[in-house]
Amino acid sequence: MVVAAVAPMMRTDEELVARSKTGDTESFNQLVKRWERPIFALAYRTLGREEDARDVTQETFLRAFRALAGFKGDAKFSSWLYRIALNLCRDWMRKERRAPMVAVPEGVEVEDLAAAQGPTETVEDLAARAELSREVARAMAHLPEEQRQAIILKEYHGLTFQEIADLMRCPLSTVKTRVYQGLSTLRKQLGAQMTPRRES
Amino acid sequence: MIHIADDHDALLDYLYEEGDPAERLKIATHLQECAACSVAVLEFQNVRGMLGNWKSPAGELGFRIVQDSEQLPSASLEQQARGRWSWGWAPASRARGFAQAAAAAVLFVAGMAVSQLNVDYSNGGVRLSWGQDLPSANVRNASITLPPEKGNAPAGAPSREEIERQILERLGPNASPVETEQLFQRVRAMIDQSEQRQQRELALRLSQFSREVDTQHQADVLRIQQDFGQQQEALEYLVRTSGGVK
Repeated sequence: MVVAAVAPMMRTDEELVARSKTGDTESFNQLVKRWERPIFALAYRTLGREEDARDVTQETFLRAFRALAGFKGDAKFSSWLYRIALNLCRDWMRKERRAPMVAVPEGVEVEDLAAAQGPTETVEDLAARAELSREVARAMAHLPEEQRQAIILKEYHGLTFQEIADLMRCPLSTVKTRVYQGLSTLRKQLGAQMTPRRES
Repeated sequence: MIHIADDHDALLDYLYEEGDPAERLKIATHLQECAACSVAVLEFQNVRGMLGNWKSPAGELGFRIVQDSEQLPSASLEQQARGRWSWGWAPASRARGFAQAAAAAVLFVAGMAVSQLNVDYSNGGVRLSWGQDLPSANVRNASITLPPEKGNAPAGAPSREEIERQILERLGPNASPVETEQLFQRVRAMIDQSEQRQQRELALRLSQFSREVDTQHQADVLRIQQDFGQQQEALEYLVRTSGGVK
């Protein structure tokens, strides 16, 4: 019987966590590599500033590393990370005593969109999309914190309502209410921009 | 059938394809007959479509835990967390090397003033570390947060012993030992505060510099990509036109 060595990237989160607990920092770095982008995206959309999101992302993994010995695996590792990141975002906003930054949303420049979309869209289309992205960022920033976080977790991270409820430590019905109310507010605020959804 | 425009749970389950599939099928059938519900669903779908335009920045992150080689491989996680380790940059690409080298050069100069700072260029990346407990990570790339260390005065500054000797000389032989000790304690506290302030300022400056280098690097990469794209288009045009002549 031949047993192939499992490549680090093929290992599950649980396996990497177990190895990290024995002192294998490379395994923890695999977890960082796997989850830094989603955590950064979550922090960025919650806080609205790339630099703050980087700080929160780093702090999230730092705290996770320090607390890993106490992680019992009752929840998924990713859920645990999301919770740390959400708490840090909340602390950051309270410390700064302000709403998320939205004046100049980053990552929505025409060049970025062009790189993502390929050559099929005109410059006018790309500019319109960049403007739309800013509008969305502005509208999201005006939502109450709980509604914004619930929508971010649902729309951009694909969590189920139940997973969000576990993460935010609130009943399932509360999460659905937050998402519904948030989407309703966005529908009103973005109403002028609405056009029938184009299916590619 | 109840209108899903009035049933938020059902509306959300339908929009996000959660819940009972049989219920969703009923809703789909209902939507074919009910204009009000169809409009409501369409509007929520449009909102979701617009949300999809909000992208997060695509820049590279590359956070990484770096374990000092002196640490025993068999050390437990708890021991490591108390020991020597730091965050560093992963060796991401050759293009990033220049920015790293520039940052490392500045950090090296800073390291001359702060004896606990180590800079390591191994494996094509840059690694920074200190022989201290875990630093606060409020500054980006936490490795540039410098912990206070007694006796870490900059080169050229008088040592603590020298300061204490001068104080004793000024007080003279008749000074009360208690007052002298209190004075020493105040002076030591002032020196500690001064050193900590200097280290915080240094960490802040290094952090700012690192960010500027990063931003410049991203702009350079973007420009290079754009130039490359234009050249590629020109090349394709030449290939097409030469093919047309044949």
